Amino acid sequence: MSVEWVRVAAESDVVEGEPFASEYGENAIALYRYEGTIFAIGDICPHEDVRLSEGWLEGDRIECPLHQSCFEIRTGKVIEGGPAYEDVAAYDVRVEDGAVFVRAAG
Amino acid sequence: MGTLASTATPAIADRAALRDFYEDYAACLDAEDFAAFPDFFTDDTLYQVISRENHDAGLRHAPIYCSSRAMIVDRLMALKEAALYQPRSLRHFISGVRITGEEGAELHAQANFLIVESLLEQDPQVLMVGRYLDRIVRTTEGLRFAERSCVYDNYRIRTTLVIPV
Amino acid sequence: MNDTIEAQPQERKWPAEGVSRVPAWIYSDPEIYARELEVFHYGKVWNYVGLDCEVPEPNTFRRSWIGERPVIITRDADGEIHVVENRCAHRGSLLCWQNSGKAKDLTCPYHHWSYSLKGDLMGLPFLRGVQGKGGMPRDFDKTKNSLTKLRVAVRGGSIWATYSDETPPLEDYLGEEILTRLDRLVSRRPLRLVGYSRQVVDSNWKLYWENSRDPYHATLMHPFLSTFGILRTDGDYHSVPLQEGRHEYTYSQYDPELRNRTSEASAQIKSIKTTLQIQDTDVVNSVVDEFNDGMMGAFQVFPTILVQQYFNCLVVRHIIPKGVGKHELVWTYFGYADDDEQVSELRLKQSNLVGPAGFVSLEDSEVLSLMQPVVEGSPHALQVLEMGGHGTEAQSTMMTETLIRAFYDFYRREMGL
Repeated sequence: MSVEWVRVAAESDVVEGEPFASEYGENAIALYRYEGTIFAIGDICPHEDVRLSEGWLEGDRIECPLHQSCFEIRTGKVIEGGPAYEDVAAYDVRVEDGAVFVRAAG
Repeated sequence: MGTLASTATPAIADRAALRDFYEDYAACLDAEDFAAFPDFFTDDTLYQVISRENHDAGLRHAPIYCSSRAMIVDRLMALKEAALYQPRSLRHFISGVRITGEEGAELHAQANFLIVESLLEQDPQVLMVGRYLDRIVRTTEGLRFAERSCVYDNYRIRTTLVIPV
Repeated sequence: MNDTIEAQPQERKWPAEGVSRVPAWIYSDPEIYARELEVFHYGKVWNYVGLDCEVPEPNTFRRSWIGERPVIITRDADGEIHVVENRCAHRGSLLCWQNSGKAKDLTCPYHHWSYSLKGDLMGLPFLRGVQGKGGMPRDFDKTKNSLTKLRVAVRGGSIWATYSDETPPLEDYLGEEILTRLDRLVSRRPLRLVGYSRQVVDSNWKLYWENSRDPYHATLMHPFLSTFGILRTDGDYHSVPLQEGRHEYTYSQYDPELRNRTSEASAQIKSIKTTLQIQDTDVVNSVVDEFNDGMMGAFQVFPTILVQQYFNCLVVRHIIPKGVGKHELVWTYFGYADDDEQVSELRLKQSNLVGPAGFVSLEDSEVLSLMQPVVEGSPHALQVLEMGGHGTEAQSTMMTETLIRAFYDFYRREMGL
């Protein structure tokens, strides 16, 4: 996987309380702004093939629209209680000149 | 898939000879000719009738399991002399005969079977449908099954399985 | 009796003779059948559902049946075994379509409701709707929409389930005599699944139930047994009802010399043909006496199984009712994880004895499927059960119907008939 920084959104696209779906290479990702800071995590639920960003965002958690598995939007960590057992990836994020760049976490 | 199609001439038998062998086998069972049936097999044959469920799961149990020609003879003797069952007519329909490989002196072949059973006061019904998976050798007396696994697709056997498949 | 046309359905009354008569309507009356399922299978009994080697590792499942209800046996990530109904709590659709397999959860194909292997509803699609529209009401409680979970008990390698909280613990339900016999087969060594035979028989399930309580027919209708000296009327044989008829066991000490002896009893049985010789005698002999007791026997655990051992052929017959005039027999052949090649081969060879093509069992489904239309045609006819007297006590003979009488003694009490 490339470790290049890739532009995935305009900074203004990512607003508080709204997931923003994008792509990093072939990977579906979602961007979240939480308390001012932008985070990027994998957007496909490890349980079933669906975009988490279509689910329900509550505080720092995104809930899968299909079976309510929850993930921390800052870390990608799965929260016990749903059918998903695995975390989704977390990405490094850099904001520069009004654009959001991500790369695979080293 | 059919590596030895009709273009190549297999050393042991061609498809027409195999087809004849299978038709003779079917005619023998349709006629309930128990005396002739063991002659289709080698002495150390494996003849079994096994469900697709067991076969696909790697489970070895087979409702009919004969690991030698002697066990086939025993089964037929038991049916004739020490078993009670309703009279029945069976018709075997064999199709899709294919040679699937050749290994040394053995031919690997398979075919589909459909067996229709007719009982007194009842309409004919499908008794069993499935595949023959065979290893065949040529002997001085002709072709013989070194192995015949009758893998049936039926999830359940209806009432009983009396006559070999 | 059948000459008069009855204006009113006759009230179901057991004949005055008691358990030495059985009225034929019990094999054909749909109301009786429905009551049996409620009182027995869905009531205060332990139903056998399977063996632990059928769910061999964590995150595996296998389907089974309790009465007419499909169930799933699961082994969760922690190795614990559960039994749940194979019925989605949402709309009642069949949840699990595969017969067995590996899974971390069970997701219904219809609307993708997803359950843990314990049966808890974990999630359902669009619980909160889409873009603020639709979705479940706020008070929808996932914890109240689990699969129907059954009480489960495991004894050795056998798995049992019950719908009722009032069913006594499995050990009490089975009792000492059955426990000893069950443990002998499934609790000493880890089990290995050898395979299944499945058979559908067009007869009421009780006809099969009685058949396996009927040693009287064994040497007559299964001539193979006496011909090859496996069982004979003059051999050592015991028929023992348990718990006032609920369960039973039979046993005999296998005598390899039996075939060579002629006696008065064997001379009476025309089916014995002493001239017949079998070539591969592994099929009819105790080559390896793996339990070191020379015993062969069978026991019934009401209302689901008959466990019978012929030499090294170990098999559970699971009787599953499929409507008033039909039942399925699932034969689960098993051995042990540490079986060597010799014993494995003997189990395969000797399984020619029993099953849908079994030398000593194929006649049973033949006679029962021919019997069902006859009993349906004369529902008020009475069957006669007087072999061995009128009682329900244990008897040391094959020439008795005491086990069937004991069963109907139990049955009448439970059914209020």
